[in-house]
Amino acid sequence: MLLSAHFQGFCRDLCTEAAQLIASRVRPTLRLLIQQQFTAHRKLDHGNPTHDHLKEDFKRFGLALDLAADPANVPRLQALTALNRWRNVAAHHGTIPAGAPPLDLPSLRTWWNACDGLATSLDAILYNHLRRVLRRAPW
Amino acid sequence: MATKKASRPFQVGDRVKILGFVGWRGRIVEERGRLGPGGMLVYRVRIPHKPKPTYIELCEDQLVALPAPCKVPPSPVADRPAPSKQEGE
Repeated sequence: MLLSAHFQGFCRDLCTEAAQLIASRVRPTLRLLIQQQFTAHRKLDHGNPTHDHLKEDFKRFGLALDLAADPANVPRLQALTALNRWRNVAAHHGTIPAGAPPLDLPSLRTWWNACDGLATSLDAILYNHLRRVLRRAPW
Repeated sequence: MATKKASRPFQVGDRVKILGFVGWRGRIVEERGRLGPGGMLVYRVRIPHKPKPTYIELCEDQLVALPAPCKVPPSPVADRPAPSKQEGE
């Protein structure tokens, strides 16, 4: 649960940072409206950091997020799905789904590394996108 | 060695108004950290719109603190000692 929460926190912070950066480039009277649009109904505020939720939230930046485009991310996304499934089992006292990977130390390490890799990938994708849009290095 | 804490202009629970938007008042529900441009603090603010409240993330330079609402003065009967309970009731 903690690992999933940390990854969710990272993605949410990245989303906020990018939104604030874009909002700072518009005139003050429009700034609040832009900020509101970036925050409204954000999936990462309530839901798990799934690939679909990440896609939906980062679509607001005009970004068709496809983490699976990088072959290294394919197993990471599978690990993220497994992590979120186990997170839901733990949080909602659910039953262990059939065919789920075991919850042991090697699995946790795999998920940890997968989250690290996805975070790095997500950061790089957004950095390049914002640099293109803003015509300068975002951070 | 004690380190000096950086001053935080707002705290969770503070009532604020939003600069440049008359009538927009809210309450800080979360400090998001230094995620604004140039490391500015960002706060998540709850605006009590009807029928559902709105949540917006705003930089510290967009917020102005509002004074806390006056509390209702304590009732004069509040000072009276509570009647002692009798055993066996």
